[in-house]
Amino acid sequence: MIEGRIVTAGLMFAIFTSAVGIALIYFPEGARMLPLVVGIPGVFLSAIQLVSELRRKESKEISPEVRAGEIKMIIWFFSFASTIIFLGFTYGSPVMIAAYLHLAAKEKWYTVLIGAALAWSVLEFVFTRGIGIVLYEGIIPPMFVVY
Amino acid sequence: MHLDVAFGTLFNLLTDPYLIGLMLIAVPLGAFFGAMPGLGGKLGVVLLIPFVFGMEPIAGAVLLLAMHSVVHTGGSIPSILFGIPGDGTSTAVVLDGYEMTRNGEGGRALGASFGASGIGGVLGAVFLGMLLPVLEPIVLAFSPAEFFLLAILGITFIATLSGKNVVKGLVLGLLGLMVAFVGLDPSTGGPRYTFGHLFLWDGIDIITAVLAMYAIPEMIALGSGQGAVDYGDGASKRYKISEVWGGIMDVFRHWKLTLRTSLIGAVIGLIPGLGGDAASWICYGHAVQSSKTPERFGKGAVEGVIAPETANNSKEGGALLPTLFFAVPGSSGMALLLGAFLMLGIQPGPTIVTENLDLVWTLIWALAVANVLCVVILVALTPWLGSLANVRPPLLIPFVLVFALLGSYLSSAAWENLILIFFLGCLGYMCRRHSWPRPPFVIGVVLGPVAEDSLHKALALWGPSFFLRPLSLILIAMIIGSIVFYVWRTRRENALEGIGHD
Repeated sequence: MIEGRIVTAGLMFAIFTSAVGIALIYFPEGARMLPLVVGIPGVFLSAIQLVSELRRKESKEISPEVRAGEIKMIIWFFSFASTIIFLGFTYGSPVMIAAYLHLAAKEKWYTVLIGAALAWSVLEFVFTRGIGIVLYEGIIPPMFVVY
Repeated sequence: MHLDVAFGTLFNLLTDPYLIGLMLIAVPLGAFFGAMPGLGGKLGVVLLIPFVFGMEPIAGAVLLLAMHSVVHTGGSIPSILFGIPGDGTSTAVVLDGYEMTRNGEGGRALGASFGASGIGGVLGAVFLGMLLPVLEPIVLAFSPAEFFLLAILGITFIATLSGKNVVKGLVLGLLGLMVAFVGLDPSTGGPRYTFGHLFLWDGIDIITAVLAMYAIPEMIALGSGQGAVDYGDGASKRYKISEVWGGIMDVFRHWKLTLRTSLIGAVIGLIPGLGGDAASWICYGHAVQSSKTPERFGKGAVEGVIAPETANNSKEGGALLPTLFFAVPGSSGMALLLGAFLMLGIQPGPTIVTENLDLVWTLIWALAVANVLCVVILVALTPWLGSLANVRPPLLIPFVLVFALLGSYLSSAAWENLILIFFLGCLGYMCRRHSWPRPPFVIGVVLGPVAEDSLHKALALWGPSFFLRPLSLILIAMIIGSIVFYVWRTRRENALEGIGHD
């Protein structure tokens, strides 16, 4: 299995190479100057880093628990972002806070309810009614609004 | 010197119940976030960012700065009571602060820390205020040519000060600049790296980039068990206010040391990238060197608490200077603040001296007043500080995630930012996990537009000969100097390691 440090260095190299390629192919002459001035040294430096990571033998082992925890947290983060995209902040946030507190933090039911209610209250009373901000409504809730 | 503006703004700040109320909210929150290992003050600022939308620029800036300025004061609490630094800058305090607690002098150590932090914060603000009249003509002498080079200097400084990972630092600094190029090209008006998405035409906003690089990786780390803390036996002990008072008096007993380390801290804060850990360790070293009894250090010397704490807070005054006047943030925390200032409609840069002097002075005073308020609040809360060990930071994870997503959405009112922050957040976590220093990325994102805009203006005004202007030559010398210094330092460290191995 490829180690994370090599993947990270490889990703940086790929980003810079693509950015320079895009600038060379698609940008007009006046617009490509700075992306190339910055991107070309980026390609070289990230290549140096990638080579040094490939040559390095020792690496810090992490426990399987931490690795599993990382994957879980990234999935949780993805769930937060996608739920809010679909349900909006007002509904998506309390749902996800309750879900996290119940499933991941294993909190008692009253802590879960208080957490969800607190999030909804802050979003509704502080942001929407207090500050007057129009929060993102999500994709699904507007479908149920009867005009 | 504009004495009328200076003292008028102080009067306004102290007599405005709204601003004082905001500070009374921000200060305990800042101290709390600073005091929680694994959370840190930057997350506190992240949580507050959505709340400043719609606020007056001054009110929003005061709220955020007040919170940011007291983070280190809170950070010293777990260092002293549990031997666990709240953030990186509080590590020097552990040496003597925790020893004092083990010797039964925890209350005195807390008092010394609070007193030193308060005085350091006030002196840092005074230092900044005193520099203003000197700085004004220098700032106004800067042209686009110098601003372009200053942006490059800022990135070089921070990359070379990123420890042993200079290549990683430079790569991330350049990546930050590339991210800043996303959007419409200012000279041709053509889209760059937008991939057909309209929301990217305005570029990737700083708030989203900073939240993704700091808030999200910290939460992933905390949630995956990497921030677990064992508070040990010192937890939940109660401390008396009289003990704390004794510690505060120690700061006045060692007034010469307090003054010197405040000044050193403020000067270090001026240098982008150097602040933080460097300020506290340099001042700790100074306290040891200047002491008649250096053998007491590391065994519970109160000067070992006073020196790093004054420096930690006074450096914020120094760090505010490049942030406000050159739009070059001195640290990642200042980069976050800079992003928030831009979002509030405050445009840092040389024109702030002429067009927004009121705001500058209000921020200087806010820095000083917040530090004083923090001391008063923390002294009053002393008996319950040991209870911090009962707070479970993982409970805050879902709230931080929601507010980070909210801040990212509100920064440009685009739901697509929620997708962007996910991918950038994962990149940020990879950087955190594999020791890629993240401050250069943030500085790159912040300075990218400044650098590009200044370069175009400088080329239009003087052509490539702008590199030969006197101030440009000084800045070029500083850029080369910072790289040469880095090479020299690395070779020296390698040589010392070689001697050690022999």
